[in-house]
Amino acid sequence: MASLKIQNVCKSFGAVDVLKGIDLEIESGEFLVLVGPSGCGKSTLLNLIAGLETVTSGDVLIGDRVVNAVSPKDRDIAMVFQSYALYPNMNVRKNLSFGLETRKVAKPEIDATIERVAQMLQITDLLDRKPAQLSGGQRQRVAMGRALARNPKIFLFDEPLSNLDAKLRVEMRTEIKRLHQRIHTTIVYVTHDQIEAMTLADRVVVMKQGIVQQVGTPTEIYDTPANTFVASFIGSPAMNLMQGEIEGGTFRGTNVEIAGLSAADGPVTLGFRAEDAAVADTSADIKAPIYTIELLGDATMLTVRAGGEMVSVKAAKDFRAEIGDAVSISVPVGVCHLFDHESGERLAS
Amino acid sequence: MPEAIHKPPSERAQRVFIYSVLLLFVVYFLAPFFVMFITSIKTMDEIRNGTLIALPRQPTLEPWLKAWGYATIGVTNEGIRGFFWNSIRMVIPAVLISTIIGAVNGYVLSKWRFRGSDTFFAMLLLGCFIPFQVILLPMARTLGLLGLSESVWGLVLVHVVYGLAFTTLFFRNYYVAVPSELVNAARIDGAGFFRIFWRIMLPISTPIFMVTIIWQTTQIWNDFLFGVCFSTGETQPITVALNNLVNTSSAVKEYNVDMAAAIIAALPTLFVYFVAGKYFVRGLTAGAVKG
Ligand SMILES: Nc1ncnc2c1ncn2[C@@H]1O[C@H](COP(=O)(O)OP(=O)(O)OP(=O)(O)O)[C@@H](O)[C@H]1O
Ligand SMILES: [Mg+2]
Repeated sequence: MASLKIQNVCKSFGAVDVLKGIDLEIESGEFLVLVGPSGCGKSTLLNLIAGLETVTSGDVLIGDRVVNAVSPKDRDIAMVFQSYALYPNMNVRKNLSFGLETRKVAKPEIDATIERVAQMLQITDLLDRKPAQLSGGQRQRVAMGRALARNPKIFLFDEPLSNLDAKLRVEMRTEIKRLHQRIHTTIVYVTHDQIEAMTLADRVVVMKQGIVQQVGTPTEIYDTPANTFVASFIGSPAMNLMQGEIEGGTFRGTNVEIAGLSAADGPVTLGFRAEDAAVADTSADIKAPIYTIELLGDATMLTVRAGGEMVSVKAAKDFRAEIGDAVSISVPVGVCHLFDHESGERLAS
Repeated sequence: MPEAIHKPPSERAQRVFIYSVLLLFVVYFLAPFFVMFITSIKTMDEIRNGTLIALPRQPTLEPWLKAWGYATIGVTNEGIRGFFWNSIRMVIPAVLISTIIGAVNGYVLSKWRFRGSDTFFAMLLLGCFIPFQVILLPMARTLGLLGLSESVWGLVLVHVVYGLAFTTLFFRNYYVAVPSELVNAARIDGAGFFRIFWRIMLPISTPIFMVTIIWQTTQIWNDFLFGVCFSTGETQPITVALNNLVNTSSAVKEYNVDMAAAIIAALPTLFVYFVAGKYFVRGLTAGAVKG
């Protein structure tokens, strides 16, 4: 267990700046989840923490020690690679034991560890197979097992569940959560899965193009996104964002008029989440023809055009209408998020 | 495809054409060897009286025995036997050393890059294009200074140095296709430079080892120029001895003995091809389609 600090870290590959001044403080025992679009530098950041790449500038601290020049094997971390990186010439058992053997762990202890990890990841039957004889999801679990077999200061997970089927993914997620609750090792975890991020994280870091957009608990990120990027990246469906003007406390845009806002006059972006609005007969804030209608089972998702964008709204599961029918939607003032119309930054409310 | 499926006539005509051409090439390439072989088991009388491609009427092994054991080469009468072993003693260490160093070089140049490693590799590649003749004099001087002139070990050194450019190239290009994450994972697992090489890289290197060994064996075994320049008398490799055998002035030219000796000189490379040839083809294409 150890804390981890990333101080003003930049990383460039030749002329390409991949990370542009990352600052993060991760407490000992914290579960930090990194999210961001493909290519924003998540794996690169993990590689820097692991010591597989060197920082262009800035410092990485594990505990209170600057580890910029410390080699990976002396950082005492375990990592699951996005590409699994299983040793092709070794069977699963050897893959799991390689790191332990290298670190001179006694044989009986190695066997016990493999037994335990294999059971947890449901790969006991696969122990004698070579990686080439495994499916994608099985390989991923072996990759996971290789990290879990060790007992490091920090775990780095790069999309460790991305290739599993839905059921197994939920199981593994629970398993990881329990593991963390039991051993309290510091974890940095990259994922594209919103639910994983929300359920696992103590705190979530949202990145975009090598810059941290927001750091906060899952609730903070979800309820008070720092800018339109975070608002549209977190949540499924993404937060609705409409363009319009505020005039005397009333937001106006195409098909939309929401009164009672306390904000200065001028152009803004107004956001709200699909589940916070409702189809209404009276007090319509949005009036527009239905553009699409999707039955989700537990709800019905409508989209309409308003404020120059597509806006989704969750309606009751028995809601029925035809495409093109006019619909009225109420958006309570309390669920509205206001963002600067140019920078996209959240406006204080 | 099962034979039962009928092919349209045009396709069959194509087949016939292709196989005829291939057959022609086979004949073309095998004919010299065939002539060599039948000549080597004829008596001198038959050679003088018959034609080149006539089959021997009384096959004899005598020319082979003579070539191997008691033909006159230079000033000795002991056949090419001793020189054959000279070549073996030269080829084995030279191939092994150059292959192993090439493997380590390739590993470093692909997985442990350092500042300037690409330039270094480019310069090393230049070594593949240096003609033998250019390095003869400097090499002779170097061997002299090292006290290795005219010894088998001197030849070994020459071949190792000259072969490194090729072996490094082979291994480097093979290892470049191996994902770097493998090395990274092993580094995180606590393995160092040699442990990663030994446990991760070497076990997946069989095809490229075969390619390199075949290449180096053929090159070094067949070399004549270095052999003739850097060795004398007893220490000469078989290629030089073969030349001397053919050129030794005696009353009659014994074509049958010459041919037998030539075939003996070619046997080891043929042997290597037959044993490891399938790896050669596989190894050369292994990088192209990653599996
Ligand atoms: N060795 C490298 N040389 C040059 N550019 C690189 C290198 N490694 C990564 N990059 C670039 O850095 C950027 C970030 O890559 P990275 O792998 O960190 O993205 P990521 O956030 O992990 O994306 P994904 O979600 O797709 O895995 C990408 O634009 C990538 O092209
Ligand atoms: Mg990645």
